[in-house]
Amino acid sequence: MNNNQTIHAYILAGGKSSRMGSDKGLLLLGDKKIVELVIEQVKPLVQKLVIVSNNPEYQQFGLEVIPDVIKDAGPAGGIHAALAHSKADKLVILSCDMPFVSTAAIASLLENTIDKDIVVPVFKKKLEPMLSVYSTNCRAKWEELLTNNTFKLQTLFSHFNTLELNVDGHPAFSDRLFSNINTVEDLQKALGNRNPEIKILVFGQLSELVNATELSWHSAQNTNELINQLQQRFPLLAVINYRVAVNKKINQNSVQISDGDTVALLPPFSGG
Amino acid sequence: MDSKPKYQRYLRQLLLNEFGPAAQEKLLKSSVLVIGAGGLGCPALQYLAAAGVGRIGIADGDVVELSNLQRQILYNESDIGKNKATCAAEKITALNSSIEVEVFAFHLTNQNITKVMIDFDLVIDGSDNFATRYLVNDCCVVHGLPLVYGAVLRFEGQVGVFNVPDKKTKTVTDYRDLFPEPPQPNALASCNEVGVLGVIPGIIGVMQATEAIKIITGIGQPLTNKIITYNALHNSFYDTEITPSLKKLTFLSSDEIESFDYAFFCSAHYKVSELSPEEFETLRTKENVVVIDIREKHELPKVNQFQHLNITIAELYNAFPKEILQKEIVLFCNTGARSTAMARNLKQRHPELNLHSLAGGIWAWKKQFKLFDE
Repeated sequence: MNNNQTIHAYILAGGKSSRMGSDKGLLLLGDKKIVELVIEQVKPLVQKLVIVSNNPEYQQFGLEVIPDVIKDAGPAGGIHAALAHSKADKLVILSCDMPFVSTAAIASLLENTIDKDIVVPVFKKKLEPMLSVYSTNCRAKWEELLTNNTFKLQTLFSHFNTLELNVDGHPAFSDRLFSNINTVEDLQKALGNRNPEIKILVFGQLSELVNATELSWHSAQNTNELINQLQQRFPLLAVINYRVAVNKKINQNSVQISDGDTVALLPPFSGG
Repeated sequence: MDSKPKYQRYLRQLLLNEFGPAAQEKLLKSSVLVIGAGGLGCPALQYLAAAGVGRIGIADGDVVELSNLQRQILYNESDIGKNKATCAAEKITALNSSIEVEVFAFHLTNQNITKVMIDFDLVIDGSDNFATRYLVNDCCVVHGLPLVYGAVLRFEGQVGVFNVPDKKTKTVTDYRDLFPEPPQPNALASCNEVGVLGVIPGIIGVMQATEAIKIITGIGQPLTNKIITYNALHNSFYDTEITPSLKKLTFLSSDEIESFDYAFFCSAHYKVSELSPEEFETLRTKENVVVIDIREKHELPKVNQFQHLNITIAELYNAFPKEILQKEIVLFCNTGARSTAMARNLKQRHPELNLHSLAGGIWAWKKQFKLFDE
C-alpha cells in the first residue's frame, strides 16, 4: 500500500428524520450535538472532513457541506456524492448519528484497506455500512450502478472487491458503537449510557489548551486511563505537567474514578 | 513604645476572643521573611506590618517599574526605578514604626538563601518564577521553616501552607509533593506574558498574610496539606488535598541546595533546536542521525519516505532507548508542537543529547515537498 495516500471523511447527515421530527445529527447529547461527537473522533485521522446533507443547518460546524447529486437514493446516494466530490485516495464514510464512534475503530478499518475497494465492518453478524471505507477507484462503477437503480448497499458491495471485516471482540468496537439513534427513546437510552459522567474542572492555562473550564467525560476507570484519554483528545496535555485531583484529593498513584466523581486538573502557576 | 499606644493600635484584634493579648504577643515576637515584594508581597507586607509582626524581612532584587503599579500597591509613581525591598521597607516602616524591618535588596540564589532565611520563623513565597519557588521550598524543608505559598496567573490564584505538620494527622507536605517536576519551559506562560488582573495577587497575598498570622498565633486551622485555587471569573474557591510523594527530590542540607542547579532544573535558559523542513531534509540522510516519529501508532499520515523509528511520547517518557543516546536525534509529530515540547523534556533529563524537533511537523515537511495531491 502507498502510505502516502490521502484520506478524507464524509459524514452522511441525510435529510429530515421523520421519526424524530428533527435532524438526528443535530440533537444534543450531553453538552454536544451528536454530529460534533462524530467529527471529534474522525478528525485526527483525515486531511479533510465534509458533511453530505441537504440541510443548511450543518454549515454551523465550519465544514464544507455538499448535497446529494442523485436524489432520494438513501445512503448509496450519499456515498455517491462523496465519491464524486473527493480527490482523496480513500474515503471514510460515517453516519452523523453514531455518537459512540471512536478514532480507534475508524483507524482499525483504515488499516485493512490494502488492495480492497471497500471495507465494511461486520458486528454480531450484521453488516454495518454506516461506518465504512472506500477507495475512490469505486467512483465510476458506483455511479453506473446507481444510474441503473441499484440502491441496496449489500448488492452494491457485491460488485466490488469488498472486505467484510468481522470486528466482534475487537477492543475498538464497543457494543454501543453501532447503536444508531433512531428514536427519542434510543436517545434517552444513549444518554443513560453516557451519564452520569465524570465532571472535569480545568484550571489555569490548561483551560486554554482544552478550550473549556469544565468538561464532561465518558467514564474512565482510573486516573491513568483518564490522563491517557485526555492526552489523545488534547495531545499537548502530554507535555504539560499538571496534577489530577479526584474529589478534591491529589493522590500520588493512579486511583479509581467512578461515575459522578469530580476531577480537577491543576497546572502549576508561577506568577507573583 | 509604651503599652498604651500598642493597645490602641491592635485593639480591634485584641477584642477577638480567639486572638487576644496572647496571640498579639506571639506576633510581636515573631519574624517573617517575605520573598518577592511584588504583587503578592506588597499586600502581605502591609497586613503583616499592620498586624504587628515584630520583625519582617523583605527580599527582592528588582526595581519598581511603571507596569508594576497596577498591582504592587505599596509603590507610587515616584518610586519607579527604586529597589523594591528598600522601597517596601520604607512604606511599611511608615505604617508601623514599632516593628523591625530588614532589607535584602538582591536576588536570592542557592548560594545566599540559607544565610537570609535562617533566622526567620516563617517564610512567605511571593516570587515570580519556578526556579525561585523550588529553591525557597527546598530551603524551608531543610531548615524546618513553615512556608506560605501563593501564586497567580490571569484571573486565578493558588494559596497553601507547606512544611507544617497537620494538627491531627501529623502529615507534612511541601511544594514538591504538589509539583515534583517544574513545567516545561515555555509550556506555561508567566504573568509577564499572559497577564494578571491586579486584584488577584491582592487577594492571594492577603490570604498568605492570613495564613502566616494563623500559624504564628496558633489560631484556627492552617491550610496544611491543601491548596486553594481561587477563580475570580467563576467566584470559586476550590480546595485540593495534597498527599506526600514518594518520588520527589528531597534535600537534606544547605550544601545539597548549594550544589543543585535550579536554573537548569527549571531550564530557564534552554531552547530546543527546531529544524525547518529543508534543514531536516539535509540532516536526515546523514550518518549517525536517528529520526523518531513520536505520534501515536494510529495517527496519519503514515510516513514511508524515510527511515525512522516509531516511539510514542509515553514510551519515551517511560524508557528512553539507550542505544540511541550517542546519536543525533530528530523528533517529529504532525505539527511540531508535541515534538518540540518533548525535546525540551528529554533535554532536561538527558542534557547530553544532541536533539532536534521538526518545526511544523510532518505536515509542513510534506507540504514543502508537495507530497500531497491537493
